[in-house]
Amino acid sequence: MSFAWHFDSAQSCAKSLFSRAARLAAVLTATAVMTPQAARAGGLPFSPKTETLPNGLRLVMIPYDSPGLVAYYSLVRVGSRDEVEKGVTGFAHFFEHMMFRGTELHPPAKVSALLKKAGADQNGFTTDDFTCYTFLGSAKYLEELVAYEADRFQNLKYSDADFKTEAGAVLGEYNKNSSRAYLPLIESLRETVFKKHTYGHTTLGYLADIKDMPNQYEYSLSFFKRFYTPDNVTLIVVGDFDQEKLKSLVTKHYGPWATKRAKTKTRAEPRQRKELRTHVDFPSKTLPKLSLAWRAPATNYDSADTAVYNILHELLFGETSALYTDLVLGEQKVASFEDWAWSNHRDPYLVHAVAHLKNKDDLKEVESRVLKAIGLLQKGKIDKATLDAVKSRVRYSLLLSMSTPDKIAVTLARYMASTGQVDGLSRLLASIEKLSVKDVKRFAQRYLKRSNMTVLTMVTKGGAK
Amino acid sequence: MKFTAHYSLGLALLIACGTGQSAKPAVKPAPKPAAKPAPKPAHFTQGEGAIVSLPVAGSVGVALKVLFYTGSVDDPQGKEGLTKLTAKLMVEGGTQKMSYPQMLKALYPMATSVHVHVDKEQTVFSALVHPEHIKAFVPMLVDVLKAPLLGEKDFARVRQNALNDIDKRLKATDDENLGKEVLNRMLYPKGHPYHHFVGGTTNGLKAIQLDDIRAHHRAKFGKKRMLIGVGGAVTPEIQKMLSDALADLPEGDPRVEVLPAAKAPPKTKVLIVEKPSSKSIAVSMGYPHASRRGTKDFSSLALVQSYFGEHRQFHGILMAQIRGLRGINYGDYAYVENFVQEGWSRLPSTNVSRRQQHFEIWIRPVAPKHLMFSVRMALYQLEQMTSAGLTQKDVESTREFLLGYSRLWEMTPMRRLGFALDDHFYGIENYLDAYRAELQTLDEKKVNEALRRNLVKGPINIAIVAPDAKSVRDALLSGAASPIEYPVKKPEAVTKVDEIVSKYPLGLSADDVMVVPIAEMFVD
Repeated sequence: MSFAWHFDSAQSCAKSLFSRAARLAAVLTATAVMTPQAARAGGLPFSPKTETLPNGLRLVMIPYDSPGLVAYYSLVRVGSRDEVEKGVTGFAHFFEHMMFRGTELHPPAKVSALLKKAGADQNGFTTDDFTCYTFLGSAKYLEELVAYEADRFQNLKYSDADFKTEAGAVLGEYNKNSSRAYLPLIESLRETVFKKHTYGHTTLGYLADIKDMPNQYEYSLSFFKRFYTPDNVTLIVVGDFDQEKLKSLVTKHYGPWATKRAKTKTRAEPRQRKELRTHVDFPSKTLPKLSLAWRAPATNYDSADTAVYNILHELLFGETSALYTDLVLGEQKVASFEDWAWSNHRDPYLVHAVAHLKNKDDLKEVESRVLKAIGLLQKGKIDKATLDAVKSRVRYSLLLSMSTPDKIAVTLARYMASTGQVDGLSRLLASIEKLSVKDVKRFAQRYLKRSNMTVLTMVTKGGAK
Repeated sequence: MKFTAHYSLGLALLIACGTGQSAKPAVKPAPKPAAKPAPKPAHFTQGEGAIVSLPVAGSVGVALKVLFYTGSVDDPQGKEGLTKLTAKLMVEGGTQKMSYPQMLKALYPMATSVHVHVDKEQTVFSALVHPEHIKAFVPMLVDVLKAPLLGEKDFARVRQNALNDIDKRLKATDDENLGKEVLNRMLYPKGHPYHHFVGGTTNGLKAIQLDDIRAHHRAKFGKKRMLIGVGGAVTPEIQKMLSDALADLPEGDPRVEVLPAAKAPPKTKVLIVEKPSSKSIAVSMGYPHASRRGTKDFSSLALVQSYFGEHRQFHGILMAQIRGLRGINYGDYAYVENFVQEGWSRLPSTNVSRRQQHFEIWIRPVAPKHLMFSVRMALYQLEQMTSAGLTQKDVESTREFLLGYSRLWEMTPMRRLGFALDDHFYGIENYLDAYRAELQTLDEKKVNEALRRNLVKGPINIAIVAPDAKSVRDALLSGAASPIEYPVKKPEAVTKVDEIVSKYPLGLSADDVMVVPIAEMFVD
């Protein structure tokens, strides 16, 4: 997991991110008006219309019953995964901040006036694999909005002074998160597992690199040139708008953009050959944590592996699972299980679960119990009814999560990002519908083995409970 | 039970704003109204089992909210946290008909659950349910409210979670919310019913016995305090099913009637909570005021809030000055009523209404070297605004923003239902429409008069969570300038203000600055 909001949550971003239903929720938060039949079939209730400009920019349009409102999301397939050079971790996220600093044609005051009259909620966030720029507001100003968005993606201009000022805000974001236990845990886990691949650092980046950001002005310009290119951007527009008019506006404003995305030379992480273990002492009180991670394959929405990956946490740790019933409700050794893998990744990443324990003396016992539960999966000892219940939960969550243009846009963006397929979510849902007990067994045997596992424990420094 | 997936991301269901369908809720009295209460202030009402119905054609889910005018103000002294613990055990402890694991198993394939949220003056149970499951779901919800199991084993688990929430979350790993809770204790001094953390105190939670929970449930979660809200894909049949099933809920005690007014401090006060493990410093500041939704100045104040510090948007003065121009931290906002962000969104949660409101400035964590400057900058900007007021242009551009932005607050049936229940709390009708109508009538004069009647440049309560309290205290008391340095040359417009801000007088004496070690917070 790694994720950084332009404006972070005022509440517990980490808590939301890591809620153990989070990955399932991610699957579930899709879509607009859906009939029960559509949900039963596991598909999406609408057909997004996709247009591709000659320069490679894609426009995905979904008309939606939200009178007067439109969500306009710009997905860029660049994230902290692309930070391959030494000393520039956190740069994809930093760059996202810079995208709000205006252009010659659209200086900040003009942008602010547009957003104010549109009553808009504007934001952005960055992950391991992608960056997303969001707008939700009045559809009345769509023409001005398209002109502004197209302009900042092509002609972003900021001074060295602006750049250095924004670096302070990024450091502020790190400071904001610094009291939370998830940060040292995830940093340590990634460093332990990934020695070659850029998933070895978080999207926020290393503190030392963040502090050095003010000195990287030139790098920021090259970052923009290399990754902010039309063939690397997908616009997702949901709501109340005229499709032909939008297409024409997008063609007019983004059409002249003619650059190509540079390739990112990530280094493949060699196969893990033995179990890895590490430990973190946290300087403030925290519930003892048992973090269990297994190397997982890259996302392929048509594969059973990716389908299992997306429901595995529910099967193992969900509210009706044996582990939850026994360890959380019965013996009360565990306060909660959380899914920290968060999303499907472009390159091979991790299955990652964290158990928050009541007592550090139970760390070994809980680990052993989780491994026993995995052993049962590896033997195929999972009944079909359990799998069917998970599928039902997916279907009805889909129905109930149909909410607003912005939710549809962000969900589609997330599932497009890992593979670049516009219909990533539909493919995943179809794969989940087809899942069998055998698929789960095969996944558990192939990936959830000891030699592929990393165990991290975290307790309060000094041993206080 | 916990938030289901769709809710944990702050989602609800279909229908964006402006569809014009059933926009005005129908508030109906319960079938058998209880005895008429004694005359009360206009805003004060009992729930009496009234039903707020807000169907929205085309919705895919039934939105249910059962609200009790029961909150942490009902916690007995020495048993702080009792209301929240009772509510949590109701939803996370099974019922007399179904154990908690049995209930989870039944609800799991429906992808729903009963969520509960507790605030100072109310507790709301809510659920979003697909119509195919509603007939199976309603009896479970009713049992959660009428006949929860409240068993020993679940009690132990839920109480331990509540203790951990104080010790291992709030005090340990959540400095931003810690700062806000520290401010709350200053705004509402000991003795005020709002004083303690809704989640309780360590000693209070430890003192609670299961019998206390059972008695609290009987007395405080009765029909007298209850409001039923149904919306979205609700049908008359479902509405009747729920209201009939809850009709024989025991009356219980009436809602807490008397709430002492909270006052601004006579002098600026600072409470520094020393937390050695913190790497940055959290700051919140504010004071109580006498306005709330439905009072004459509130719409003006809500406009001022947006102008000065709209939550997580760029245009607010605080955000522009502290983050935008100076890059000091991540965000800086202001509020004129209790604000809880809904999930990941930037939207205000509903059903956290309070009779007593306060003005609050939230400076997100700053590096220790920037603390003094940040505090001074916030106070300076507050002084500038309260002295000079807003210009007509400020009023107009903020109004334009709010007329559009407020549409985002009512995008889902669940949120509309939440606002409708809040209307009942405040004794008003259709707040959002009324607010937008009133915004149209505001001008510079009206806004500034309201601003000056309610918000002052000082004194103010300042809450600080810092690793080294002594150095913060010394800096606050020394009166020494706190100039700021930048990695680049700043325009003269910025440095001129910096010069003034760096010397902004705080006027504090030793008695005004208190230091409390984190270990002593939220104990009793």
